Parts: sequence; C-alpha cells; structure tokens
Amino acid sequence: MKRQYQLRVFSLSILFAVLGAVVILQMIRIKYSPQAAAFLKQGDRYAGEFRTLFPERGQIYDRQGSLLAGNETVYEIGVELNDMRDPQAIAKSMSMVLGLDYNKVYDTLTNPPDGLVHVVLANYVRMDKARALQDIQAKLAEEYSDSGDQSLHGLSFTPHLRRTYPENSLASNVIGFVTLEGRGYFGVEEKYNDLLAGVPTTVWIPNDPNRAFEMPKIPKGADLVLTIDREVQSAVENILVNSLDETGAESGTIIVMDPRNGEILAMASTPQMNLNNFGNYTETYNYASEFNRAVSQQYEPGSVLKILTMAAALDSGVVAPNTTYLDTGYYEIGGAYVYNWDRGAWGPQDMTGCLQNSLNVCMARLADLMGPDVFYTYMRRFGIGHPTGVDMAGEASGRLKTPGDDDWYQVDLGTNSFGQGVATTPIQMLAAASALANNGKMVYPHVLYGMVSNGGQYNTPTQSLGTPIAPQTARTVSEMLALGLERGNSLALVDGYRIAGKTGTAQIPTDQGIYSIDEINASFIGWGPLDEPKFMVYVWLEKPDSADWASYLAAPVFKEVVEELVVLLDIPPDAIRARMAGQ
Amino acid sequence: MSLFGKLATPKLVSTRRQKPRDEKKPHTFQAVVGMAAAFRPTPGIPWRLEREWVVLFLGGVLVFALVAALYLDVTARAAITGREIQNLEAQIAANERANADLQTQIGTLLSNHSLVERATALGFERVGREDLQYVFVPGYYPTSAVNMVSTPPERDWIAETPEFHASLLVWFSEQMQSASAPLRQVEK
Repeated sequence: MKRQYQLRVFSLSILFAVLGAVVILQMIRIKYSPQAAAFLKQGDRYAGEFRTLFPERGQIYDRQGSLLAGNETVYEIGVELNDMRDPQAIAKSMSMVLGLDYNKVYDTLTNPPDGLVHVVLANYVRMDKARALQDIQAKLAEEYSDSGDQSLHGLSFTPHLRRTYPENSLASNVIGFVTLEGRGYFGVEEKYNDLLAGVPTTVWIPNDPNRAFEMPKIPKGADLVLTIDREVQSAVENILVNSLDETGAESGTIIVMDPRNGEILAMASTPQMNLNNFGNYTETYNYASEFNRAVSQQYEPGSVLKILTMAAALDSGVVAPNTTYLDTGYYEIGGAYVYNWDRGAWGPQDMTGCLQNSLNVCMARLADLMGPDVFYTYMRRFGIGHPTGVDMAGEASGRLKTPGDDDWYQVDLGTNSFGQGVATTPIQMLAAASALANNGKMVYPHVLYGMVSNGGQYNTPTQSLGTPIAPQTARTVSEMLALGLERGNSLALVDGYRIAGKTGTAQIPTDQGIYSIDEINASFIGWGPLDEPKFMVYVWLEKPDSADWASYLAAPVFKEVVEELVVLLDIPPDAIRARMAGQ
Repeated sequence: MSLFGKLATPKLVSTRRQKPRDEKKPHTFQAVVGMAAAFRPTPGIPWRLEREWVVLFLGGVLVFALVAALYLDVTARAAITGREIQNLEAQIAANERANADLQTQIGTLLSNHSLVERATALGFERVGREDLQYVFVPGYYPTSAVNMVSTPPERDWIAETPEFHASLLVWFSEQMQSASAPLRQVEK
C-alpha cells in the first residue's frame, strides 16, 4: 500500500516538476520572443514620451546691459477631450476671454478629428488672459462642484516662452525678429540664430520616477551683448525721423561707429517696425533689402567716395596735398567728358580745394593719372564692391566694375572716381573710410560686443580688414577734409570740435539706364575729434525734395548727431581735452 | 549521510504488516493520513538535528525577507527621490520662465521710452552740449568695458562649521524618520 502511495507521490512530483519546467521554459520563450520585443516597445510608449526640448532663447543686451530682446511666458490652451465635460462652457469662456468664435470652438470640441485626444484652441496666449481663464475655471469648479456640468474641466494650460522686445521699435533694423516657430529673421536674430537658439534636443522623458536621472539638461542659448548703445541709438533714430520730415526724403540711414575698433554704436534705418508685431513685416517693407538699408541696400554713393580717390592718389604718390592744377570745368576721359557738379570752371586749385569744392574734374584727372590698375587696386583694398562681413544678416556686396568686365569702359574710371557708376552700401563706405580715421587701418564693423555662455563672457576681438593706405596719408586726408569743412563754413561743423568730413550728392540711375534729373541721394561721412577720432558717422537721405545738395541736406543731420554724441559719449571739446592731456 | 541528503530523500517508514485478505480497500481519508504518515521524519534522526533544520530554514526565510525588505526600501527611496527630482525639474523650469518674465518686465519698465516719459513727467529735460561743465578729476579713469558676468564670491574652502554634526545614533534615527515619512512630506 505504502509503495503504491510512494509511486503516486513520485509520479505527481514528476508531473508537477515537468509542468513547472514547461511553464518556466514557456516564460523564457515568451520573454525572448519577437512578439515580446514588440510588446515591450509598445509598452515603452506609455512609459514616457519623446519630447523636443527647445532651450530658452538667449537674451540680447545693449552695451550698457539694457535688455533689447528677452522672453516672456505665454500659454498654449487646449482641451483634453477625454476629460472634457461641458464643451459649451469651454467654448463660451474661450469666446469671452480670448475673443474666439464660439461656434467654431464648439464645433472643434464636439467633432474632433478621429483619434485626437487633445485639441489646441489657442497658442501664444498672454499670461493675463491665461490667468483670467484659470480663474474662471477655478470658480466654476468650486461653484458647481456637485453637478460638475458647468466646469471647464479638461481645459489645459501649457506654458512656454515667446520672444519679446521691451524697446519695441528701437534698433529694430539691427535686431531683427523671431517668428512663432522660433527662427530668427534679419539682423542679429538671424545672423546669430544658432547661438541664440541653443540646440533643440529630442529626448525620452520617462514617467517612471526611478528613471528620473535620465532627464537631460538642456542649456539655454547664449546671451548676446551688442555694441549698440541704447541712448545713442534712440537719439540717432529721433534725428533721422525728424530729418526725413524736414527734407521730405523717402528713407534714410544713419550709422555711428567707433573707428578704433569697428564697434557700431548706433545704426538707424527707416522705416522701422515694432518687433513685437512682426506679423506686419510685409506691410512695412516691400523688399527684404529695405529692412536695414545700412547693410542691405547698395547705391551710388557719389562724392563721399572722393575721399578714397584722394587717399589713393596721395598714397600712390601721384599728387601731394599742395599739388595744384587748373580746373577748366571739364575733363575728357574714355571719349567722354566729365563736368563739375555746377558745370563751372574753378581755376587753379590745390588738392584741399579739390576736396573742399568737391570737383569731379579733379577726381577724374587723379584717377586718370593713377591709371586703372592703381586706382582699382586701391578701391579693392578699401573693400569697395565686397561685403564687409558685418555680423548682420542680408549684407549686400555692392558693385565695382573693373577693367576686364564686359560692362566696363574707360569712362568708368573717371565716373567711379567721384562715386558714380559704382555701388556700395553705407556700411561698406564706413568701413573703407575707417582707414582714414584710424591711421590707415580698416576695421571690421560689427555689432556683437560679446557672448555670454556657460557662465563666461567671450568678447569680440578687434579685427583689421587691412591697411590700404599709410598712416601719414590717412592723417593728411583727414586734415584736408577738416580744412575743407572749415574753409567752406560747412553746416556740419560743431563748435569746439574739429571734424573731418565730406558731403556726397549722387544722381540716381533709373530703370532706363539714365540718371534721374530730379532725384538725388544725399550723403555725408565724417569723423571726430580730428586728433583722436572716437566716432564716425554716415548719413544717407534717399530722394529728399527740400534741397538739391547734400551740404544743405545731410551735413546738418551729421551736425545734430555729433552734438548728441559728444554728450552721450562724454567727449569734451578739443580745448578741454588738450588741457586734460597736458595735466 | 548529511542532513540535506536526508532531507532530500526522506526515508519512508515501512511498517509492514500482514494484510488480511478479507480486509476492504482503505477509505480516501485513511489514504491521505497514510500518505502524510509516509513523510514523517525518520525516527532515526535525532530531535536536535531536526530543530537545527527548522532553525536554518527559518533563518533562510528571515534573510530572504530582510533582503526583500531592503530592496523594497531602496526602491521606494529611489522612487521618492525620483519623484522629487521630477518635481524639482518642473520647479526649475517654472522658475526659469518666471525669471525670464521678470527680466522682461524690468526691461520694459526701464526701457528707453518709459524712462524718457517718466523723466519728462517729473520735469527733467535732456541735457545739451552747452549745459555741460567738465571737471578734471586726477586719477579717475571711467571704465568702458562691458561685463555681463557677475563673478561668484570667493568661497572659503576651510569650512567654519563641521560637515558632520550628528552622532551615529542620531543620524540613524533621522534616516529612519525620513524613510518612514509620507511622500507628501518629502515632496514639500
């Protein structure tokens, strides 16, 4: 009997052992089967979510630390359809607070696309509006806590950051703007988009708290410090707007730069726009080049380019400052005649008189004496016809025809010498002329002072674009220009300060290939104080109608700018500086 | 034979006796009793050895329970800490957004047009070039460099207070309390 039980017990043990082994084997088989991998993958989908984390966009400051571009919290307001109880209440509140169409919202909530569990009703909602909705939600939830049928249950608020510009339109042409998608357009926002935006990263965010260590750290984008001085920028913009009113000019540009290091202190260009309403961009500008004419719009600069011709002539040794010639009122070059601006003959002139009276005949003669090779070599050294590399988006290159080009003729040598038949941008002219104000060294114009990232500040070093002329030549031309302004009682002169400068009145070519008879571009380029230049100013007024000459149009604007600059940049008059230097 | 050897092959009790031919087949209950009797320990094993076996088994269970409890504790602590990290991450993100908001608000309040409006309302006027008076101050050199990074204050590497201030018993008590604290309390 006992033996029989033993047998049964033994058989049962074997049976259960085999069954257990089969179960374990089956578990192992399932665990490592392809189906298990698929199930695990499917399960992972609910264990967390893939999310693209966009770092906070870096802020932009002026050189005094004032915020020019920052970020503010806005909300994406949506509805979790599974939690929604009363679509009517939600539609009504959205209509009341955000002004959305009630029927549209209600229809979206009651007839969502198949498979959708979350509906976005509004995005980029300002904090005050979102708070108002949250208050209504809380009050309704409290009031109707028993029935729950009137609550805004299911309404969700997802905060995120949006670009904002506290100064509205100030320096808008320099800064540019950021679209809702987070991409920078124009100016610094576009040029340094990658730096400002940081590196968006798509990561797996686990719901499991045991895997919290897997949450990544996304560093914010770099902050930028610009060379722009907010006070100077504001003053320059006001002067520009007033000058457009006074002269009737279609548009205008003023740039202020430190010739010692190329730092742009102010850059104003019309029209301007409130960067917080960047959606109106297409209504304000017809072409992208109009956003910042200082870097994007090329034009024939006219007589301001004569300072480069004179510098080339002096530097190449063709003439000296006291070299004289007899101005007969015309000069033949390449089978064509070049005339002075007044078509008059100015008689015996030295080189200072040549600049002071802005004589085209003199310049054509100098270019002819130098010859095309020397003249164009100097123009290339000055960077005419080439982008300066200024750190703003959309810089135009200009155009300098040279021998060998299909459309270059000998007469171009003469016209190019006084700034016609050649296209430059204002920033290009300023960079070229910086050689005259900075002892022969051209500086790289830039708006980025430094970058703040990872707790450190990295400043932009001063970079030279070359030395097209000798230091002595630069000083000589500066002195000649200052003398020219003083002898001619220029409207650009500022009491107490010696200034070097030159006007430019340029004809405007039409679509038919001839010059307009009643439209001009008025420009002025100048720098000071003469003995130790601390600022350079470029003024360009496009198609003014109150006068015909830049000496009456652009020179007074230059003077206004300098009068503001010497106050804002703490530049004492020459006499006081000399006294301070002696102490 | 070792103890475990004996355990693995329990010696069945053989109490053979002559079965009468006319005896009926045993009842099911009697069969179960008989089967249980078949697993009775061998009378040959001394009782000390049997108790040792029981103690060892209970010890094994206790160790297993301790390890399981420890594992549970560590897992629970990790989960609490993880949740705390997640909460802190969310708080950091919210604080960063709040900082950005505040910086922008300050920027707006100190914007050029706001300041000009406020200054004008207070009766201030823009200073002109002719209004300025220059005073020579020997040894004064205004700084022109821009620095947006605030250097952290130098840290005294020699700590003024000791890093550890509790006895082993106090520390153990604190750890026990924190381990038994509810999640809500930890999250705060």
